[in-house]
Amino acid sequence: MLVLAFVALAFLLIPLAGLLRETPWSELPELLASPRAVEALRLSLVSSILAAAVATILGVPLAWVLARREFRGQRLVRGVVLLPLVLPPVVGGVALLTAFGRRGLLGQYLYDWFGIQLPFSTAGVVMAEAFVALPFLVLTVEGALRGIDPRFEMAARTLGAPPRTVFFRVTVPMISASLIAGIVLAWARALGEFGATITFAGNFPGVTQTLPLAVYSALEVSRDEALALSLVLLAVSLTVLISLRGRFLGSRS
Amino acid sequence: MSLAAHITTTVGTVTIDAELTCQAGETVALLGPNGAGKSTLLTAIAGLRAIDDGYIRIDSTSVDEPAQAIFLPPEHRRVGVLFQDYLLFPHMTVRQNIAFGPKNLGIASEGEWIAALGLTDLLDHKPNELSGGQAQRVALARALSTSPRLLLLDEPLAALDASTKQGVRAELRNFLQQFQHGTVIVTHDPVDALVLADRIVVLEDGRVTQEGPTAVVAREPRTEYLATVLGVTLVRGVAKNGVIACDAGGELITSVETDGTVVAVIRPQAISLHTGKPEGSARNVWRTSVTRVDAHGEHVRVDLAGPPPLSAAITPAAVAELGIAPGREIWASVKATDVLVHSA
Repeated sequence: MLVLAFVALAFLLIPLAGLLRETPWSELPELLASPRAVEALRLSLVSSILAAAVATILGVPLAWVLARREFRGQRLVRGVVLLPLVLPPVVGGVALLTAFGRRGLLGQYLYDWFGIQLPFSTAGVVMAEAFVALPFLVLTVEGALRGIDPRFEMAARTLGAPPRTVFFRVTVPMISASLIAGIVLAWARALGEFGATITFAGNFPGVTQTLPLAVYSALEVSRDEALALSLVLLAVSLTVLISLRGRFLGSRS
Repeated sequence: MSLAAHITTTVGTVTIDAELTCQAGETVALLGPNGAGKSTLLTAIAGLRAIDDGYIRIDSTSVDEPAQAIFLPPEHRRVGVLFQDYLLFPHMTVRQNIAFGPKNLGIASEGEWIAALGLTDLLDHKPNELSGGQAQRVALARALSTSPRLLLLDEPLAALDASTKQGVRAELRNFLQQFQHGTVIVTHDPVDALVLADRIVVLEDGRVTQEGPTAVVAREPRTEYLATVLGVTLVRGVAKNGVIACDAGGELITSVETDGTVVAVIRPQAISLHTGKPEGSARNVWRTSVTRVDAHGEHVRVDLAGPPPLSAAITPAAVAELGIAPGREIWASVKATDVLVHSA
């Protein structure tokens, strides 16, 4: 048992060691300042923040409905919410294309009526990222909502608060820690998104080439640049892990 | 001010069909066992659940009447609720908790009760820094902050430990005597009802089984449940010529000539226990066995097999002196004048 556990741990750690060993530390500032890297960093930051915002604005109400209402097909709805977690992201990208592509289910009307073309645009990047990030937010917030006594909301109603006030002044503050955790998780997932983005939005520098896509492209021409960009993503991941350590490592009881 | 309600609704397997009124300045206790539907009535009056049929009127205005398609949501009812575990908002200070209601309603914050309830020094504390008694007073101040037309208290003392309960109950009694509007208290503790209420409404299985002024209900319990919680023995039977043939077997000699179906109430202190056959004037004498012995504060409750089954209350010293234990054979006596008879 112990040997296998050790092997498992090594399996996780050795690739990281490899990454750190090969990172061209001395040329790092120069590599990260290259136009492609700067563009990818900027695009990734903007699109992942927008995706996290979209996931929050749409995901919190969905979480509330799942936690506070009982309705037929609730299990089915929860299954749909979970789907992007298990679905290969590339399939998500294909699905988005069939829905929002120029000849897609909704996309044809968006294009014909409004001239809006989502695929291969920055908006498409945000959509692909929000698609895969949404479940993280919904699950975290739903769990938190189930954890608070709904009678707090009742007490607020008897104190003259209409449902909207109850939600913003009582419910949201009471789940704030989980809500922040959910947003950070959704953002981290959006930042690392690759498969759905490249399928739905393509890989155009400055428009849809986010950090993970830039790593993939750089690998073919400049291994050092790929390593430098990978290091950035690793640093972000570690920061997220550390900032949420209380939730996952149980150091805060 | 005043409440008039006839509430019909179903929760799980319990069908509730109960009438409840409360006048301005009156305190009504809704007393009943767990699961009788007391809290459901309270949440319906507060507007936190809709009733199936009937009406709820506050100051003669319907706030819920399905037949008229009237349902006023809780935020417009001006009904103050003190919840069982107080439900103070944990992310707000005491001051913010109390200011929450007035802010929602756009009315001036009611400062009056803050001082009266002794909360002035606690205003900047968070709820988790308060003792149980303090939290109860804050919750009361919060419920009163909206100048409610009616106050509902759901098991107001159940969350307190025994040592603070007494003091808080006395404070609450003082407060309720000053309070000008109607108050409905839900409780399963007869002491709360006896100390705090002007009138008691007994709710069992969704129905009102007895109601009346507190003193009368306490003296003349008409249901097994009420007799049990009040610690008295309730005997049903048919009376003829001053003798009751008890439904549970045996006879009781009384001092009144009521005939017909009756309920007789025997206070546990009225029952004397003896090791040998008692000599004296008591006209009801049994040789019976002890079925159960329970300590209740300063006295010990001794259940007797009868017939009819009886409950006596004696001092711990007497328990030792008489050698009382379950299964023990013993003599019991009750004076005819201590058998209180009511027509049923």
